[in-house]
Amino acid sequence: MSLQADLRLTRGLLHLGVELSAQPGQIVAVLGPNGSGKTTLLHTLAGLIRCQHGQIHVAGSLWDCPAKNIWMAPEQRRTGLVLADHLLFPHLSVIDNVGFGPRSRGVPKADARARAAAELEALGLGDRLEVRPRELSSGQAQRVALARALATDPALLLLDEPLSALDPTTRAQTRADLGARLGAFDGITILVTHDPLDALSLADRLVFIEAGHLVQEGTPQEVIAKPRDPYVAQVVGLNFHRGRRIDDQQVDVAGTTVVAPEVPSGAAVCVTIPPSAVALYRMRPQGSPRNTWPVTVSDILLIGQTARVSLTGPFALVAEVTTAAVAELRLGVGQELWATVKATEVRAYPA
Amino acid sequence: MRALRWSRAGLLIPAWVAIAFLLVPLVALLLKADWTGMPAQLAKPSVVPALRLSLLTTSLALVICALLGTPLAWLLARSTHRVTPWLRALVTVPLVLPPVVGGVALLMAYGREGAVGRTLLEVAGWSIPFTPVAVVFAETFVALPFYVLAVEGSMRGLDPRYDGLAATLGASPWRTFRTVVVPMVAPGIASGSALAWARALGEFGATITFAGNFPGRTQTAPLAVYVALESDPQAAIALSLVMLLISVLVLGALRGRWLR
Amino acid sequence: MRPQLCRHARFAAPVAAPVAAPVAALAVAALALTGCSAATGSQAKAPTRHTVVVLAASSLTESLTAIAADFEASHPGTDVQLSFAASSTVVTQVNQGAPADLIALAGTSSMGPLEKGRIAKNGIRSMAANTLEIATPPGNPGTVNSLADLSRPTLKVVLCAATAPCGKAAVKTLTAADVVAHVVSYETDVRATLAKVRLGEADAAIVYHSDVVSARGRVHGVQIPASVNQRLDYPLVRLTNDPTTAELMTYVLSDQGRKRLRDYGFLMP
Repeated sequence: MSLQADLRLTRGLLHLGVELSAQPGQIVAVLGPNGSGKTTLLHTLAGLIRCQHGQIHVAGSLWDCPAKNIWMAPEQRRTGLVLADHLLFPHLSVIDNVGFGPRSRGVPKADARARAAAELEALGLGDRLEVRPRELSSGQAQRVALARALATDPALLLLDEPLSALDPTTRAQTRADLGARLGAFDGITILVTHDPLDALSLADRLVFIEAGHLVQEGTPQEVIAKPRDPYVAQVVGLNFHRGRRIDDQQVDVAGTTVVAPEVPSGAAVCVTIPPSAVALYRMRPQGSPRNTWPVTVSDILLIGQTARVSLTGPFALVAEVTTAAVAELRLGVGQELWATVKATEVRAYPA
Repeated sequence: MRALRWSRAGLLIPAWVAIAFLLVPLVALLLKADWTGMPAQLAKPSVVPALRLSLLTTSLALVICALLGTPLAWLLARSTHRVTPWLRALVTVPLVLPPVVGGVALLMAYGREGAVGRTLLEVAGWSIPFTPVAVVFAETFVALPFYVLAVEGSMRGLDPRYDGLAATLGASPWRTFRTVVVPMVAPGIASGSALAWARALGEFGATITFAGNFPGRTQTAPLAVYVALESDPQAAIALSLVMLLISVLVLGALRGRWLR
Repeated sequence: MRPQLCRHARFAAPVAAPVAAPVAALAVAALALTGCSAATGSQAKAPTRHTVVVLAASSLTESLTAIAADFEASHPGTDVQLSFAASSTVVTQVNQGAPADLIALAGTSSMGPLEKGRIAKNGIRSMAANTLEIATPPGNPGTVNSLADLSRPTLKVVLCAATAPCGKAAVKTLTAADVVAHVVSYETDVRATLAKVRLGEADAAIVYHSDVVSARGRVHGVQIPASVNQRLDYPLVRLTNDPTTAELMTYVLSDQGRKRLRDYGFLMP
C-alpha cells in the first residue's frame, strides 16, 4: 500500500514539481514557507486538484495520470483529510460525523456507528458520541476530525496543519494524542506543517518544499545534523551558511574564515553552528578560539530563561544565551559585541 | 446632544412612517369587516373552492420550486463559469416582469398556438391553459426566482471546503448535496420557501391571463377577491381577511422555527 | 398674472436641518403626484386647458377613442382623458370617489349600483345600443355555427364574468336558448374575453357585436338569433356640471359621434 507520486502542475504563480514516495506505516512531514505549495500538494493527493503532468500511484492503482487520461475522483480514492479548521458537519452529532465516511461508502448504519464509536474510543472521546460539534472544545473537535478521516480506512491520511488553530496547551496535548493514534495507523500519513516540533516529534521522514520544489528530505536525525537549505536550518534551529573549502580545517564563508574540525573534500561546503555554541563578549576575548568575529545585535527574542539574539557581522548569526547574560551584557539592539564559536562546535559537510 | 436626538429622530421617523404605511391598510381591513356576517360570507359558494385551490396550487408550486430551484441555486452558487452571472440575471427576470406580461409569455409558450403548447397538443393531446396545471405554472413562474435567489445567497455563505471534505470521505456530489449542503442551508431554504409561497399565493396577473378564471378550477383566492369586489364587497373583504390570516400564520410559524 | 400654484403646495416653515431636506423632497414628490397644473409664467391671460375625464365600458374602447380625438381636434384647448374597464368596475371606482366627469356604461342595469347623488341633474342620455354575437378565431377552427354548438365538450368557450354586463347578458341569452356552454374561463371584461379568442386560446366567446366589428377581421363572427339575443342600451352619464363636459356629451350624441359609433358596430338607441 505504498505511495509513489510525481506531482507536476501549475496553479497561478505556483509551479509545483515534487516527487514523493512513502511506505505503509510511515509518517512523512512536509514543511515549507507559506506559498511553497504544501497545501496544493496535499489537495492534489486528495483529488481536489488535478495533476497536469506526472502521476499518483497508490497501493498498486493509478489515481491520477494525465498522460493516460486516468483520474480518480476524490470520493473513489481512499484518503482521509484533516484541515486546520475541524470543519465538522454542524448538523450531525459526533458519532454521525465520524460515521459519515463509512455511510457514504455504503456501509450499513449500524456497522458505521460501531466503527465510528471504536475510532472515537481510540481517541478518548467515547463519552461524547451524541454531542453536537458546537459543544466540543477545539482540541476535542480536532480529534473528532481525525477520527472521521480514519473511519474510512484510508490508504493515505492527509493532515494539513492540523494543530495550527489550537492554542499552545491544547496543541501540546493534541500532538501527543495524534502521535499515539498515528502509531497504530498502518496507512501512510502525510503531515503538512510549519511547526518544527510537529515534524520532529511525529514524523519518520521530513520533506522540505520551497517554491514548489523539493529542497531536502531525510529522517529527522539526518536533517537536524545536516540541513542543506537555509529554511531547513531555520526549522531545525541551526545557523547555516554555504561556503568554499579553503583546506582541511578552514572554510571561507562570505569572505571570512571559519575554522572547523574537519572539512570534507569538494569545493562547496555547508557550515552549521548551533546557536548555543555562540558566545558573546563585550570585549575581544584573550586567548580566544580562532572563530572570533565582531558583530552587532539586530534583534533579541526572550523565551523563558533563554534569549535568541540575532546578530549581523561578517555573516548572520543567531546566538542563544541565558536571560541573565542579556542583563549582564546589557544587551540592546545596535550594540556592538564580539562573538566566538569553538571550532569543535562547527560542522562542515558537503553541500 | 440635540444633534444626536435629531439624528436618531431622522432614523426613527421614516421607520415609523414605513410601519404605519404597511399596518394602516391591514388595520382598516380588520375594522371595515362585518364580523357578525363573516360566517355567512365564508359559506358563499365561491369562497371555499377558491381557498382550497389556492392552497393546493401554491403547495404544488412550492414543491416544484424546491425540487428545481435548490439544485439551480447550488449551480449558481458554486459555478465559476463566465455564463453564470448571465444565468443569474435570467433567473431574476420574472421578478421584475409585470405579472400580466409573465402570463402573456406563458401563453405564447404553452398556449394552444404556443411554441411548446402546440407540439404538446399534437403529440399528447394535452392543453395547459384554463386548467389548474396552468395555475401552478403561473405561480411557479413568479415564485421560482424568489426561491432561487434566497437559497443561492445562503449557499454562497457555505464554506466550500465542506464539499471537498465530504468528497474525500467518499460522498458523491449528489450525496454531498443531499446530506451536507441542504441541511446546512436549511434556514435559507426555509426563508426562500416562505417568500416563494407568499408570492405564489398572491399571484393574480399571470394566473388570470394564462389560466383564466373558472370557479373551482382556476379561480384562486386573489381572483375570487377581485371578482367579488364588484358585486359583493363584503365577500371580498371576508376572503381577504382569511388570506391575511393564513399568510400571517404560515409566515409566523416559519419565522419562529427557522430564522432564529 | 402671477403663476398659480395648487392649493396643496404649502411649504413648511424652515425646520431643523436634518428634517428639512426629506420634507422638501416629499413635498416636491407630492406636487408631482397630485398632477397639479401650474400656469405658465406669462403676464398675459393664458388659455387654461379644459380637461374632461371619461370612464367607459371596455366595449367602447375604439369608438370613444376616435370620438375623443375628433372632439379635441374640433375644440382646441380641450383634453379628453379616457379610461376603459368593465362597467361594473367603472361604477365601483366612481362610487369610491374616482374623479370622473363623464361615464359610459354597457347596459342600463349597470347603473343600478351607481350612487344616485353623484349623477348631475338631467345627466343621463342613451348613446348607443349593442347586441351579443359569438366570436371565434379566424377560420372558425372549432366550427361553431350556432349557440347550440357551444355546448360541445371538446370546445373551449370563454365568457365575461357574471359581474360584467356582457356576462349577465350572455347568461340570459344562453338560458333563453336552453344551452349549457362548455365554459373554461370567465374573464374580467369583454376585451379580455375577446383577447382569448384573438390569441387562439379559446374556440368561441360571447362578446358584443361591436367587438366583432371593431376587430376588423381578426375574429370571425357568428350571429345569435334575435329571439334569444339581448339588447343593451348604453347610458352616457354626466357627473359634473363642467361646460366642457356638457359639450363633449353633446358631441357624442351628435351626428358625428353617432357615425363613429355606427362605424364600430354599435346600434343606435
